[in-house]
Amino acid sequence: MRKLSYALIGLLIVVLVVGCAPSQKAEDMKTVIIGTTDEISSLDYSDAYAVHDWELMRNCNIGLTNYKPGTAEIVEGVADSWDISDDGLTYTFHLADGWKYPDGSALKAEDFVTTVNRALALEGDIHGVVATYVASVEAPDDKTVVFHLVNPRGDFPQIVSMGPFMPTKAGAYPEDELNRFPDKLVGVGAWQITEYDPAEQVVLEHNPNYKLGFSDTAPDRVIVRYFEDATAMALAIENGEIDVAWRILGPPEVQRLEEVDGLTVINTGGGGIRYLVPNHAMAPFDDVNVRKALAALVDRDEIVDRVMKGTVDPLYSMVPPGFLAANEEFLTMYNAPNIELAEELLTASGYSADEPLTFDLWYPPEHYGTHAAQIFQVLEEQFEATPMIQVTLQTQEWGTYIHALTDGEYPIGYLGWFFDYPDTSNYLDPFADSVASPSMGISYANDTMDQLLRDAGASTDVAEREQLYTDAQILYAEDVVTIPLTMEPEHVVLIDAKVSSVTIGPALVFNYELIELK
Amino acid sequence: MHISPLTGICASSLGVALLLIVYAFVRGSKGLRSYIVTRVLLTLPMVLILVSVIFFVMRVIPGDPVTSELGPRGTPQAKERMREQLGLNDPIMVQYVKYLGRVVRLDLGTSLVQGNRPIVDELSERLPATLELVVPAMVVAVGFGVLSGTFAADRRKRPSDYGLRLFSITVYSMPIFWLGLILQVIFGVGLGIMPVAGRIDAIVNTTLDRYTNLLVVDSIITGNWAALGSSLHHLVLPVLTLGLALTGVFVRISRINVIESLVEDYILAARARGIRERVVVYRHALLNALIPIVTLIGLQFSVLLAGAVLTETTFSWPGMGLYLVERIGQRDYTAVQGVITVFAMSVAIISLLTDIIYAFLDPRVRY
Repeated sequence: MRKLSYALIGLLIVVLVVGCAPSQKAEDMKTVIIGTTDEISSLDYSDAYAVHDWELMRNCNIGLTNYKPGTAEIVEGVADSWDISDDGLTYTFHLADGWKYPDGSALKAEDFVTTVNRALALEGDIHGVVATYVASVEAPDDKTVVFHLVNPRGDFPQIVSMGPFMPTKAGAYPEDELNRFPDKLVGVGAWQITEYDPAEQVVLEHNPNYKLGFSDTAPDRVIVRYFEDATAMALAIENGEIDVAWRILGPPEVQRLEEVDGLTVINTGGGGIRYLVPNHAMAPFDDVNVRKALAALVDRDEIVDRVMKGTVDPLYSMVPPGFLAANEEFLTMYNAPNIELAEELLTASGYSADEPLTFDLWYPPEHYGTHAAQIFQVLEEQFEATPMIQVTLQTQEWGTYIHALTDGEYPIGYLGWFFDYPDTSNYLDPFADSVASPSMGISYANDTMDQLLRDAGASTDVAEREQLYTDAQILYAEDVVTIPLTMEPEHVVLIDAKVSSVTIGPALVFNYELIELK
Repeated sequence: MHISPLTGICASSLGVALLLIVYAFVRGSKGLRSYIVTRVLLTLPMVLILVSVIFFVMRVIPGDPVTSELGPRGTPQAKERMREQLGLNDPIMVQYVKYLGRVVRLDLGTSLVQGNRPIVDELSERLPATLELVVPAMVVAVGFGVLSGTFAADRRKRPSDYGLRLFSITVYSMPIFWLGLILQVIFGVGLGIMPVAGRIDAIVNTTLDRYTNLLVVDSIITGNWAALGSSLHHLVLPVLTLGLALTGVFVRISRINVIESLVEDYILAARARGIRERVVVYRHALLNALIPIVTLIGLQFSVLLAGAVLTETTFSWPGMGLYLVERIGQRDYTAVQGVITVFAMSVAIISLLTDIIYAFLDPRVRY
C-alpha cells in the first residue's frame, strides 16, 4: 500500500515536472494561442457561411475589397479600383499587381470566377446569398473581374468582401462537389492553414509571399484552439493556457475576467443584435396595435442593467449605431416604458383587464447564453405591468426552436442577428423585405417598404441611401416589424505579459498579423 | 489498405475479448464452456436488439434531418435530393436492413453537418480520446475505491471508516460537471499547477505525429517526451473528476463485501494460524469479496460513458461524449446514431466479458 502510494506520488511529480516544462518549439517561434468557442463548419470558400469560417478565410485570403483594419469601412482589397456601369448592373474590378499564393504563383482574375461559379453551381450554404446578387461573372483578362448583377446594388463593394468572393486557385477544390475540409487553406492573405483538427486546433503560419509583409512584433505562428464553452475558455486564459480569448464570452465571464490581474478585457464593438420576432401572419400579432403595445412596454435599460450588468447596449433600431442612417426610432416613437400608450393601443384593439391579451412568448434557453431565462422573466414582468396582458413563457431547445420559429409556428420569439457584410441593408432587408421576411418567421409585407429598400440597395449616392434608410426605419418602427432589444458587443481578452494589442473593429474582422506581441 | 483508428480499436478490442473468451473456454470446466457458448450466443440478439432500438428511436423522435440540415434556405428540390441521397425515401424496413448491413461492415454513414465526412472517420478521431479518459478513470475508480473500501472495512466503526463513508456518499452524490469545475478552479486557476482544458498543450501538439490518436501511446512510440508529459498532465484533472465520481460506489460495495468476508470461517482460520492481519484483509478477505466488484465494473461501464459526456464537456476534451453533445445540438442524426451504436456495442461487449470473468472466478455461476 505504502509502495503504491509512493509510486503514485512519484508519477504525479513526473507529470507535473514534465508537463509544465516549456517545449523547445515554443522558444523557437513567436506563437500566439487564440481560444474560441466557435467551430469550423466549412473551409470551402464556395460554401462557408459562418463567422468563424470567414475569420479564418479572411486571414488566409483577401477579397476584391477589404475592411480598413479596426473599422467597418470598405477599402481596396486585391483590386485597386472598380467601375460601375450606368445601369448599376455591371461591376468591373481591376486587380493590383504583386498578390501571390504561398507557392509563389500569382493571383489571376480567373481565381475569382472559380469561387463564384462553384458557389452558384454547387448549392452550398452560401449559394442563396451569391445567387441573390450575381447573375454571372467573367474574367476577360488576368487582371479584370466583371460581375453582372441580378439587380443594381450600391453596396456591392461591401458584398464582395464576403467569403464566396475570395479567390481560389483552379484545382484547389473539386469543380463538381464541395470540399468542406480541404487539407490546407491557402490564399493571397497573410496566413495559410498548415494543419488543423476541427475538434482541437488550427495552426496558421505565414504566407511567405504576402504582399504587405509582417511587422517585427507580429506573431510567427497562430494557433486557434477550440473550447466547448465560455466557462472553460475563461478558465483557460486565467490559467495561462491561451494568450487571447476571443468569441464568445458571455456577460458573466466578461465581468469576472475584468477583475483578474494580468488580463486586459477589450470591448470590440460589433454588430450582434437581439430582437423579438412577432409573427405577422398569426394572431394576435397580425394586429399592429398589439405589436406597438409591446414596443411601448419593453424597457431595454432594465434588461441592460438588471440582467446584463451593463455588458450590452440598448438597441432602438435594427440598425446599430455606427452604420449609415442608424437612428433610435423606437425610442422616439414609443418612449418605453409607456404603459399608458400600451393600454390605449390594446383598448383600441378590444382588450381589457377582464379580457386581456394572452400569448406565448418563446425563447431558446441555452443558445443565447445562460442569462436568457432572466431576460425573459424581466420581459414578462414588463409586459404584465399592465393587467391587459398575460404572458406565458415557453422554451424549446435550439435545434427544434429555430425551425419552428422560422417556419412560422410561434406567435412571437427571440433571435439574434449578425451581419453578413457591414452595411445598413443587411440589418433591414432580411426582416422587412417581403420576399425575405417569411423565411425569418416574420411574414411582413409592405409595398412601400419594399420600394424603399430596393431603391436604397440600388443607389450609389450616400446621401440618397441615408435618406431612404431613415425613411425605412421610421416605417419599420411604425409597423413594428420586429422589436429590437439589445446590441451585444464582442469582447476580447488578452494576457498582458505577452500580447500588447489586437486590432478588431465593429466588423469583427480579426487580422492575426496585426497582433502585437511584447 | 488503410485501416482507420476506429476499425483498429474495434478489431483489437474484439481480439482481446476473443482471447479472454478462448482462455476461459480452454482453462474452464465443461460447465463453464457451455456457459460461455450460451452467453456469447445471447450477446448476438442483444446487440441486434440494441442497434434496432437505436434505429427505430432515431426515426420516431420529432424532427427531420433534411429540414434540420438545409434549414429554411432549403428548396424542395434540394430537400428531395438529400432525402434520396440519404435513402430516406426507401420503405422503413428497407432502410432498416441496409442499416444493419452497414453496421456489420462498420459503416455508420456520413455526417449531415460536416461535409459528408464518414462517421467512422470522425469517431476514429474521437474514440481514442474517450478511451484515454475512461480507462484511467476506471483504474482510479476501482483502484482507489476498492482499496479505500477495504481499508474502511478493516477500520470498521473507527473515524477513518466514517470519513471514507462520508467521502463516498459525497463524491457519489456530486454532479460530475460541478466536481470538474471545482477541481479546475482549485488546481488550475487557484494553484496554477494543472491545465483546465484540452488533451495536450497547443504548441506541443504541433510537434506530435499521430498514429493511433491515443496521445500517450503516440508520444511514446514517437519518443516525444514533451508530448508525453503534456498529455499526462492534461489527463490528471479529467481522470480524477470521472474517477472520483465513480469511486463512491466502489468504496461502499468493497467495504460491505470485505466486512462480510471478514466474519467467514476461513478468515478466522487464517487469523488462528497467525497470518498477519494485513495479509488476511488485503489478500484473503479482499480476493473473496472481488466477485461482486467485477460485476459492478461491468455495470459501471455504462455509467462511465455517460459520465464521460459530462467530463468531456467540462474539460473541452474532444472525445465521443463531447462529439455526441455537439451533434445532438446540430441535429446530425447519423452522427448521433453512430455514437450511440458504438456506445451500445461497447457496453454489450463489456457485459459479455464481465459475465465470463465472473463465471470463471465463481464456479457456481451457470445458466
